[in-house]
Amino acid sequence: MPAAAQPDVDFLALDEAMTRLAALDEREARVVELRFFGGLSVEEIAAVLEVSKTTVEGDWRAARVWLARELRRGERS
Amino acid sequence: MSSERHRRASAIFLEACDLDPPERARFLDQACGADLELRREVEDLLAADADPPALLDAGALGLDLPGPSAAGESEEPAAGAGLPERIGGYCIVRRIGEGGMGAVYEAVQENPHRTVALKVIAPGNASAWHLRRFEHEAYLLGQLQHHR
Repeated sequence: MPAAAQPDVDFLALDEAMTRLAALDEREARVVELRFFGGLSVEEIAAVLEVSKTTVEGDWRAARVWLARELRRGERS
Repeated sequence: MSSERHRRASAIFLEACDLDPPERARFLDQACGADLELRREVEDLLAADADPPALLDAGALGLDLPGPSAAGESEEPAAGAGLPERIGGYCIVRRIGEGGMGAVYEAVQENPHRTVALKVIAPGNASAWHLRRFEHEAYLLGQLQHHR
């Protein structure tokens, strides 16, 4: 279960990365906001953004690794 | 990286991530061609995908947060200190994190009743652009409720 330990999240870094992502791809950023912060399901996000579930899943996967990469870069520098 | 290049890298990444290594290399040769910067970006994303980020695994942050009793109390010794009791329709449970922009709280929304993560931007930090994004989000969430 992922809830065993609270991930050590730098929310400021995450917020800044989200701002950069929104500038690059508004829809990817919206999918992350709605899913991660809003707690919506893939189906609900697809309905809100009026795109297919496949699109939401692709945006989520791509945005997630992009954010992870950005946060790791931040840790190293 | 421009917005257009980011979208291309995302699209190539999504096609490549489910391919076997030899097939993937062939696909990247063909999709990126001589564009080494694009190739590096896609390979960077593929490397990040191979080592999945725990941070975003939980999906909806609000649903997987450990309760106050499960979390390490040491991080937040005075959980109640300076904590607002309510913000709008949200009952504040605890502060999850804080940064220059503002703070993120675990909160319980009244209607629908659910645990959420609430991001609060500190006064003075909310640029017009941020406020527009928030308004847009509120609008979209309102739309969702309307659809139900």
